Amino acid sequence: MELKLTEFQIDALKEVGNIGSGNAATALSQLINKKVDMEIPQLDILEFNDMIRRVGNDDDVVVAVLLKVFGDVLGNILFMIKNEEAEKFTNTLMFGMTELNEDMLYSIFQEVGNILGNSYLNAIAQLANMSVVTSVPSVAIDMLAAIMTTTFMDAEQYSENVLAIDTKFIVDNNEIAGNFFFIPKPGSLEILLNKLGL
Amino acid sequence: MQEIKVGIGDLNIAKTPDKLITLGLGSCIGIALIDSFNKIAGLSHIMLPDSKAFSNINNPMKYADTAIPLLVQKLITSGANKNNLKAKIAGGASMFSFADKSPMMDIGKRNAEAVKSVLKELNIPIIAEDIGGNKGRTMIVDPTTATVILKITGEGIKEL
Repeated sequence: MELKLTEFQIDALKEVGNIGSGNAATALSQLINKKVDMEIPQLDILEFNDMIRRVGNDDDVVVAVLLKVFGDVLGNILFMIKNEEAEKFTNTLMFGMTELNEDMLYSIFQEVGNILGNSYLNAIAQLANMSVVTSVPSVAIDMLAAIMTTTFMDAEQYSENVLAIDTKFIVDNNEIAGNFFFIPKPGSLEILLNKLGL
Repeated sequence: MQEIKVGIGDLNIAKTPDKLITLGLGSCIGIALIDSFNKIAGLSHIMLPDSKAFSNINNPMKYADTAIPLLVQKLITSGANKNNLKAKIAGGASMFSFADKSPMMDIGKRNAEAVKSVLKELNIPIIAEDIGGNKGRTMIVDPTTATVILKITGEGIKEL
């Protein structure tokens, strides 16, 4: 990543991430009717393998929802939840309804991703007075490394070090934890900072 | 027996009885080059098709056009015969499907095309492949038997 950010800009972007994921956490909390906490968002420029290690092991199976971001800023929003956590999540969401088939599972996570992604993005868009839209969410259940490489490559983050703003959600004291990434395309962070007057 | 791990944008070689493993290939491609006579194999995990599109290359092991020649060189230095080398390749998936996807943006497909053209240039035949689809793959290469085992999420195990 060639981008050079000042401490002040990094703090500002973290705050933007904070507002966005705060909004998303509220939406998640309303959806599942439980208390949802989130960790302070991190803005990281890390080597690729370290970025993956932050979340888990290369071959951990995760449920991932990807939304493409279009408009004044471009990039990807990625929500990931580990497979065993995802089961708890759907149990909570479906109030114990069993016999979920794969289509229903995909549909649930598509909707969850949609709500989270758009509440995150809307908060940022309002703050920076930008217009952004997202694609229809797409769900994949697969290995962490496969999901993350594909998502970063898709956002044209090709260099040794990749950038992401991420937050971890914690539901009912660590009952369910998910990871949330906003992966801007190169140039989009500068646009965001510019709109914020930084 | 040791299982040597190949990371993302990484490559390595193994001699019998050791094996090579790379985890979670998505749009990336794993290229196994095997000399079954000398029982030596190499594995490369590339992320992008072409280094020439970039001005600043820190890691040549990330790109198909620079990683494969490097792997061949490494194999020859360690006792492989270039003429014995056969390739087995896997990966290049589109993990997420979008209705609006243009083929130009399908990085998995572009990776596959680049890998095939580089191998052709180097006169290395591809004797088995498992490319495309929408599932991630873990790849294990065994120089002793010249086989490649693929572990595919939700689909199980496949031999190349």
